[in-house]
Amino acid sequence: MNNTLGLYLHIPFCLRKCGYCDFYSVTDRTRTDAFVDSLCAQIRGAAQIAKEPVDTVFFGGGTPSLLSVKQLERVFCALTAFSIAPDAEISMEVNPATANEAAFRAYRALGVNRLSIGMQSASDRELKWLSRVHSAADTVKTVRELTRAGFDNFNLDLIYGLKEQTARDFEASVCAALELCPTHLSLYALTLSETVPLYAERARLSPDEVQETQYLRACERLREAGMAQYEISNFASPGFACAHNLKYWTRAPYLGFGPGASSFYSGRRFEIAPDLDAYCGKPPGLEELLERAPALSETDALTEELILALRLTRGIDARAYAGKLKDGRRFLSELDGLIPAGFAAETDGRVRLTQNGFLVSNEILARLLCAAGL
Amino acid sequence: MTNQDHIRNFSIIAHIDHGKSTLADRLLELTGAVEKREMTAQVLDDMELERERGITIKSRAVRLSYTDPSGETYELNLIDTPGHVDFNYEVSRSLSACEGALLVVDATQGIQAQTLANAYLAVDQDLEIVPVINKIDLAAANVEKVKDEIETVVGVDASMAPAISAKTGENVPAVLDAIVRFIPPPKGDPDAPAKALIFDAVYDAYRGVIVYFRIFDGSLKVGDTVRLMACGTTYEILELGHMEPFGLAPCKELFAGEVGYFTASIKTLSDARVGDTITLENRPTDAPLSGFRAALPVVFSGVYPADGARYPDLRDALEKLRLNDAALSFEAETSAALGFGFRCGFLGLLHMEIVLERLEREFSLNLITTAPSVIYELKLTNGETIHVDNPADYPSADRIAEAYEPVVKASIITPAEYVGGIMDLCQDRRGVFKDMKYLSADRAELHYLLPLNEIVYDFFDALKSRTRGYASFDYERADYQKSDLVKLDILLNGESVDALSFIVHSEKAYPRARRIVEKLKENIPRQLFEIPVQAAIGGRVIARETVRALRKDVLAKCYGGDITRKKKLLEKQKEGKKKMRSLGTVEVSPEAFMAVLKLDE
Repeated sequence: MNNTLGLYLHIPFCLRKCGYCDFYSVTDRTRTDAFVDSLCAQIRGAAQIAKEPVDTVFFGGGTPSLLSVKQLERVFCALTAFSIAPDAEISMEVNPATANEAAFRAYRALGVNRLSIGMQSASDRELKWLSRVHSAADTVKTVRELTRAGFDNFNLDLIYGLKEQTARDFEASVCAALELCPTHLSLYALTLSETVPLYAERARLSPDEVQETQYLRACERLREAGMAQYEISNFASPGFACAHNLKYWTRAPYLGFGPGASSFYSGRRFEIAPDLDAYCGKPPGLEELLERAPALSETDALTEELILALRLTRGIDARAYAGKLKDGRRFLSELDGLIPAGFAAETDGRVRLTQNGFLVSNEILARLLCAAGL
Repeated sequence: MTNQDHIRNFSIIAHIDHGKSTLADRLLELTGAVEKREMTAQVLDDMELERERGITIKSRAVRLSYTDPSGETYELNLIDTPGHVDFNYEVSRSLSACEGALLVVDATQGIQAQTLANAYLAVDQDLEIVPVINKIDLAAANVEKVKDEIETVVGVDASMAPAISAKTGENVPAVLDAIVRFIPPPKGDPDAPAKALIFDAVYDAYRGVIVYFRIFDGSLKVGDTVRLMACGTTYEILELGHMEPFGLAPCKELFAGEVGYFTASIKTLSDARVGDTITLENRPTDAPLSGFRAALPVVFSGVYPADGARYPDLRDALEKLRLNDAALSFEAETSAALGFGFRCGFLGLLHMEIVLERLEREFSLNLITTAPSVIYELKLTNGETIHVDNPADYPSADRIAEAYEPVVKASIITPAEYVGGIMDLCQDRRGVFKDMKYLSADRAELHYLLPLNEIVYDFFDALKSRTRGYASFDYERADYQKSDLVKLDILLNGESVDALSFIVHSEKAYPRARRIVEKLKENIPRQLFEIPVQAAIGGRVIARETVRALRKDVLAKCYGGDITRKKKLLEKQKEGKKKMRSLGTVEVSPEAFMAVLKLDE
């Protein structure tokens, strides 16, 4: 897996900023052409250095569907500078009501084979509170059109823990999502950073006990629907786990393009400045980015390995991991202590968090990191 | 040698923020001691903490040279005083080195609580009180009203009081004039055997202890062998001189009426006690000055580094502080919950607060302190009598025949409208009412006998909040009284936490236990498991709360491959965890310990 590469393209344009979102994006869309110029230049430059075969491409944002088909064509053209595997997973995020059947057909023609739809909720009241531009009906319409255009592999994003949202409210969204027959579902607990407008309403989010029920009940519904959990927030029909996102959690290399995009390449993590003007002026070259990024320390690498592996249901090979630590015994005893309490489970030497463990995974990871001496 | 007629020794008494330090700065400026541009602010308060809190902790003195309009030159010795009940003794010693005091009152606020206690101390020392009305530059200033108040409340003539603005400098020269006119010169006998008062001492790394003194009779010179009468030790004076605004100015000899310093290779501050009398070894005075008292700690607390690895740093810091603070005592102790630390003794609560704050600020330490305690006297069933200031040493109930606790004579001066509230408070603190008298139509003085352990907690805060800060409080140690005491233990997850135990009157045990378990519940973060929080006497649980288990703590979104941000968040959480103290399976933050101390907030 490590000799292949993932590509992430950050398209930083939105119709409107959502009140909870802290990803980098702008609403002024006059500069999309200049952005695409820079994006293409950055892709071509990086391809001179990164020669690994590419098996995943992910268009994220922002709202990638706000680029015109023509602009996307140019980006795909630039991508040919990389050696893209014929069976590569090529995903694109789409917000409901920002693409129609014709656009979906065009995406398919360009090579996109997986879509991720920002559904978020099946309640218009909740969508309004989130300041989303779409309605519940828009999501249904969008899914109908993408299906008609021939897409059969798509994800729906849902958010729980919204303002005054009950367990039943969220369950209704989950059921509505399942009716649209996605191959993949992502369930995110609403996390409000201090910089977003909805931060002011943080005290009115569903209480932790409710969020716990929301999550556990959703997991139950998805299991019944035949969607297997493979990560804290992610569920898929057999064979439809997102290969690109798995790269993040398995510490496989990926390159990010566009302002605000993150990369992990050649043992280094780096981010492109979240600044569209600067990016349009001169996109940073891969060589320069690599030069500026320090190589991860061993402690960093071990920390990442643990916190990422325990996000996945496949868990971690506990003994192998402990063997890399200075004092692995303390770590193992802390980890073993989680099992009788129902926060973790062990199968064939691999320890994974249970759903109850996932719910409090920050606390668990912080404890494990302490015990690991990291 | 300055003729005593041309010497004036004085202090400034003021409520916090009424402008004492600003006035001192102006006086220094006017007498040419300090160039205006050199003055940052408040030269006299040189500890960082003092500057920030605007209060003076250790007294200092400075000599000013003032030439009046007729051309006469005077030596003015300004002796600064600390301003809090814990340091009452130091204040009284500083005042007794003076013949007069400026009573600075804010023209917009009038007489305030703190001013009074010190003004009365000055009256007790027979000092000439010179009122000064400050802040006349403010629109709300009411000079006449404040003068009336000074006359009625303090009982001194305010008709000649200079009305000034220390901030703008307006009319400040009138203060210098008033000092010379109204404060009497010293009247010592220059030929009598030397008799001088130590009113302050500081430790200097190079010279040893620098002793600040006021000569009443006779003279002292370099090479003299002096005797410190209370300590009984003798030293040879190596250096002596005046205190100038920016340092010490050595000279050969100092005479009756003067204020100065000497050094004599004195190694620790406990060898040069404030209030002690200096005389000559070969020609001693027949009687020492009255009023000497050794400063004994009355409040005790366990002090621990929040990060156990910093224990050696805490030890070094305490040793350094003690060089400059003879009243601070400490000895090593160990707690199962908090690890290695020190049992520290303080003069009172403010003294404790200042020491802790200096440790945190000047030595960058994070501290955990246990509930303050007093010294209990216990008669055991085997006939033995022991003294206990640490709950950890408190014997089990069946070994105690009789228990005694220290009480203080408390005096509270308050605007009459708050009398009821204060009586309720003292009642609640097991106080015994002694008497009350009206100082004026709207100001009363109450006397109570109060158990010391009822005031070491939060009595000042409670008094302040009930009287909007207008009441002043003072106390002196009285005696021990028989008492019904119990030791209250706090259990987390069934295990007793030694650092949280304390000794309390049995009537107070239940309400205190309730508040503590509630506070702990609020302050212990939810953890993976449910945690019972219990308070118990002996084996009997009298209060219980439960910290419910954590239900959701997850970074659900891990998007766009931005691992770094997630990692940072978790690392922060991990660092927080490292600061926690593990008590068995329970993690308790330093904040939770501190919160237990502040029950009234």
